[in-house]
Amino acid sequence: MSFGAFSRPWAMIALAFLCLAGQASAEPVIHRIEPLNLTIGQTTLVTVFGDRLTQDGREPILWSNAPITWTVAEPEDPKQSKDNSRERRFSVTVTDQASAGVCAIRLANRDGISAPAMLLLDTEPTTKSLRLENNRPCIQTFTAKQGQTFYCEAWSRRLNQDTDLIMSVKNEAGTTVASADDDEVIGFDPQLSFRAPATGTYTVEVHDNQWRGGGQCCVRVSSNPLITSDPTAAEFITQQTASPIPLELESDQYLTVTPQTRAIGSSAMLLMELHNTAGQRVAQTGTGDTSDEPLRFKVTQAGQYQLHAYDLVERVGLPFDLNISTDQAPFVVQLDGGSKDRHVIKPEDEFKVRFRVTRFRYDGPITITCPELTLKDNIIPKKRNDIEAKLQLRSPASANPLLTFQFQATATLDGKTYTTPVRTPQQLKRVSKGITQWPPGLDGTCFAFIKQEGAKK
Amino acid sequence: MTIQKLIAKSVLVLLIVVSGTPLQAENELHEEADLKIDTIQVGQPVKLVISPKTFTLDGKHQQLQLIVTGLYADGSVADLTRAASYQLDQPEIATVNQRGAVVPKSNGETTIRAKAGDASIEMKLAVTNAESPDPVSFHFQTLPILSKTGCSMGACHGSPHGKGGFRLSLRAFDPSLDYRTIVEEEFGRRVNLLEPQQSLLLAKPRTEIAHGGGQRLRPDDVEYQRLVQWIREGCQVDPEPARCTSIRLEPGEGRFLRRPHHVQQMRVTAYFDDGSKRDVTHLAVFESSDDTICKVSRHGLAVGQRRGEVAVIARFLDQIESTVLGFIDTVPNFDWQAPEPKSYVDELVYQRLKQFQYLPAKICSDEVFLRRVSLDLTGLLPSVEQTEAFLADPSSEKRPQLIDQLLASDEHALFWSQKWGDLLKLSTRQMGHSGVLKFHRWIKQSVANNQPYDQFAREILLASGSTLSNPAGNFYRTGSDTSDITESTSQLFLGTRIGCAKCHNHPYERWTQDNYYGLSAFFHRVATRQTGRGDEAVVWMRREGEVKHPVSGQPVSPWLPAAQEHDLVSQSTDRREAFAQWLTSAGNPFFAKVEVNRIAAYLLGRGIVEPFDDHRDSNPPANGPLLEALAKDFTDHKFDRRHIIRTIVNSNTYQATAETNRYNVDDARFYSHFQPRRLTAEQLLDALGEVTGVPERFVSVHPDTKATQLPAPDLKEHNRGQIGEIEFLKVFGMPERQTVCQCERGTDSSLGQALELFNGGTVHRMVSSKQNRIHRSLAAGEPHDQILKELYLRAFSRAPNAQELQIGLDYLSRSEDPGSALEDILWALINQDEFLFQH
Repeated sequence: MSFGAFSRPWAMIALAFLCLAGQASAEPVIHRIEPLNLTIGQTTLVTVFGDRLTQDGREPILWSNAPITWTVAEPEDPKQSKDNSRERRFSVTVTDQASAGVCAIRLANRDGISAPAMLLLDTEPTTKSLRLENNRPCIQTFTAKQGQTFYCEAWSRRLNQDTDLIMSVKNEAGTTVASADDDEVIGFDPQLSFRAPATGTYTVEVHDNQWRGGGQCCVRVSSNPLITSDPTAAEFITQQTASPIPLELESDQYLTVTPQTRAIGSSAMLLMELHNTAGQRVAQTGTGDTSDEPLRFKVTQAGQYQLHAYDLVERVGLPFDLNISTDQAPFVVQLDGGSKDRHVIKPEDEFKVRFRVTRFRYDGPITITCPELTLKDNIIPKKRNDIEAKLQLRSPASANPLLTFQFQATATLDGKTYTTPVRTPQQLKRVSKGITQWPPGLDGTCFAFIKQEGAKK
Repeated sequence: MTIQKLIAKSVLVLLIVVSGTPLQAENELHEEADLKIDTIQVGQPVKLVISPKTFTLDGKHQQLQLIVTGLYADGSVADLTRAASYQLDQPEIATVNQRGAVVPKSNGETTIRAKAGDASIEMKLAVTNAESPDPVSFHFQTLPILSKTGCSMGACHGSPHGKGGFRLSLRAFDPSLDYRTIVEEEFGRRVNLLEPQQSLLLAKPRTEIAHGGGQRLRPDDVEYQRLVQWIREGCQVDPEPARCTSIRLEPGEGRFLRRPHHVQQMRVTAYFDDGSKRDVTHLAVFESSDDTICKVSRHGLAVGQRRGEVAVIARFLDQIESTVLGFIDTVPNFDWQAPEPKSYVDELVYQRLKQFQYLPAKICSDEVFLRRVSLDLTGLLPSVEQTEAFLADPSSEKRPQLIDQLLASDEHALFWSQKWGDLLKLSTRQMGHSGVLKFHRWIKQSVANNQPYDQFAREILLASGSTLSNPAGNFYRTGSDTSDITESTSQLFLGTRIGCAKCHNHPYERWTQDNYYGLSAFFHRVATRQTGRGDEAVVWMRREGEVKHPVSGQPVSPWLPAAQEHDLVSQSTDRREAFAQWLTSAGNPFFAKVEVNRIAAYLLGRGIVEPFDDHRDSNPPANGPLLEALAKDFTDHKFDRRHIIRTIVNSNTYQATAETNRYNVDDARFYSHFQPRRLTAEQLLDALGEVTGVPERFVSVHPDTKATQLPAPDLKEHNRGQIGEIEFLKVFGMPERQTVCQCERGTDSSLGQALELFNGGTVHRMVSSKQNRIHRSLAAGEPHDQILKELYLRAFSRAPNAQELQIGLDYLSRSEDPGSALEDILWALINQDEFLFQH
């Protein structure tokens, strides 16, 4: 790299601007958490590594979407400074009510709120949280009796780690007896079920596809998988066949068909087609995208329609759920990418947020509301795609300075009111599209840290 | 002495570039006067055969080429067409010229009697319409003449942009375009109806006006006269021309000509859709697949140059036909001796060698065999321990045992996966980092498990779904469109380079443009789409969409060679199923042959068909029966690739020494001896690492991965830098994998390679490293003779002979710095042919 460019004035100005911008951002940043798993019903000492974790010697607030309680714990090394803003330790207890799967945590203080970090909520206490090293596999050993079945799972990509793992199970002689790479449903995290051919000690080896180090993973070996999918338990219609679904639709209705596949443990890749009474295809979706993309259609002619849903690669017998609705809003509103989902505000202050809408054959106005906030300029006008609203706290701040809230977008059309939650920008860039076990409470939830009057700045 | 000093002192035997036989220049017209033709010795044939037995010449422009064959008591045959004398019962009907061509004179019937030696034979000839006007046909005379003279060939006016502003369709593929170009374009300046000889169309090839293509016609040529006449007649175009549906080339296959009978007259008969047939020998274009063995004159006389086998190719309009001729020389003092055949491979190779009088080489030594088979099956040199154990083993079964052991090794699976990586274009550019690694792992698993080849092909061709969970689907990411996939599939599994037929009928093969789009129809509905999940793409079949013929604009239905109607229909909506079913069926004429030929090429250094992915009638196999037998064995063993590899490497043919004898020194085709070949780039880097003890370390892959086991040439270190000594590998020919053609892998030698070996960074680093094997041995106090012995065992899989050892020890004793002296010796060893070549 040549430094010649930095002799130019514009480059120096840009560099100075970048430095200033970096200083201006003072929110906590989480780099790594150890361990990466919490056992449900137990207390775990969790160390968070990052930047600006403390503020003026004050500990941050820990938020999670899971039912946990937490306290600040003494550092592992007693010599460590209490002001170490790059490493903090917490004692975290997961209540018995927690569901197994992925949860998110954030750290908040008066200067900001961190992006979420992901942890595994597990029922199996032997699950190991491991750190990948360059050119070396992570290892977890277990003993098995002949004929015993084990489920070996790696959790990493689903925990927002930049990894692509491969798993192999080796016997005492070092011979590979089972291996797994990508899983059709969950993607980059391998998992396998393994029936021990002989009694003995087995080793689960996990390494990155490119033998990269730095990432983290949880290796879980148990007689049961952590999450068992039961498609038939879903509330929606479960389709086991590709036979068309008749739909009686009225003129001017907005039809939205939302499929679920991976979320219910199915590898189906749905291709959906809507045919009119003449058998002509009037809408189609799902050509190759693995995310469960909804089919949307505005009915212009009332009548009997046929909804065809089949697997893109024509596999049969794969379950899927369809939520067929004419009540879903014909638009999707989300916070603009530039607007963060987290803010530090004073109760009396006004702050601004930009909303952006994607319309589906609906041009009318859309109103944004939030019970906790007073909004001004909160109506996206007709045919407009965005609006910058002014927001202010509606009620006095509570004892908890960290407030979470959600926006709703509403429109009335032909006497019918459509309401949909406002989505928040993607916070987990490393997580695949179409991820299963998306932690509830992440998408659509906004945060505000309320600075109390007279508090030390 | 430093390496640099040694450069000045050392003499490196330059690597000899062994390239394939140069192709005959397209449409080089051989005049018979220019060919060295032995005087035909008629002798005493016991019988004559004449072809055809009867014929009708319809019109004054038609001709008939006779072929007179003499059969001799010793079973040999000779073409006596030009040596025979001809007598006609009715001489006013026709004449027979010195080439044995019959030219009509008037209507009527006659008997033509051919006589050679004491034998004679007759044929019946009828002439009709000799007096009718019979204008020169644009379709069947003008265009074939332009094709025969080379005007419409790809290198001249038949190129897509023409030459000098004059563009013809390639080999008269589009007659209406050609007519417009010749007669109407440029205000008709190319033809002069009043003074036909002054036409630009004739003046240029006469070189009366400067012509980049040189002289193509002379005024006394029949072809020239026909063109003059066509212009004089007003450049007429046939109102409703019959369509030529096929041509026949005679004599058929299986003709072997023993010197001095090294000539053979060919005849081409064209068949039309109105039921007629014409002799078009004088209008056809002839080529030989190997001009060093046989040249074919413009009149269709094949003249043998040396012993060997060639395909003679005849082309008329867009029709092509070929036949194989063998030329045998009598080798003085040839006395057939061969080791006892070990299998049908040896039997069939020896049969062919005996036929052409090549003496097979002796069986190679254990040392040579161990090095050769290790490099071929694993890509790696054997270790010192393996070498010593193998050489000390007295068992007569040690070679087959070693072969089985190597075939079962992980290294074999990885090395042969790299070969498939070349063919399937595994590169991050095509399928992303994860895609490459996953596809490579899938291939390796297939090789390691010895997956039957038909299943392997089916899984690739029928792949669908996520490329992460079904990595074979990455095959469909290696092509940018249907054409790419069709051409790749055709070359990989049918051994046919069909790409030419995309724009016009294949110039060297029977494949037509219709065939091309018929094959494309199987893949046209394949769709791929990136999902945004890492390097994932999804492959699926659309339920609609047809490939359209570029000329007619009409949808083209799926088509397969020699397939029945029901073969073309898939059981599901996935059309590929029908293709895969047809492809992998036991009766498929291409599938098994292509793979066994590929395996033979990898092991024997040359395919039975060479290039090994270019199977066509005009490129005959060096040993057809061997190819058939291997293909049958392959099919009988349920497409077991390992069985074929084992069969070949266990044969005497594979285990023959590379040293030639006086009877096989000029053979590079029939496997009379092993063909030495330079180590591939990856083999060389691994071998250097093994000999020096400084193996190349690659990142982003398993830490012990060798160059011969790399999944792709363009992996990057964590998506940033290079993963290792990629530049060294590129200099030695590592392919970038842009095509499915094995020819992309460089096998030649270059100045850059010589420089790399003299004082390139990689070699210098390995040789001079203080942690390398020789310095470690010195530090451990090993005696010099032991170090030298080990060096030889590692580099050549043999111990040094007494002279070599003494030279090395003398050099060490004269040197003040043994470490530096050993570096010199090491450098000298790795610059020897014995190290650089597989032999």
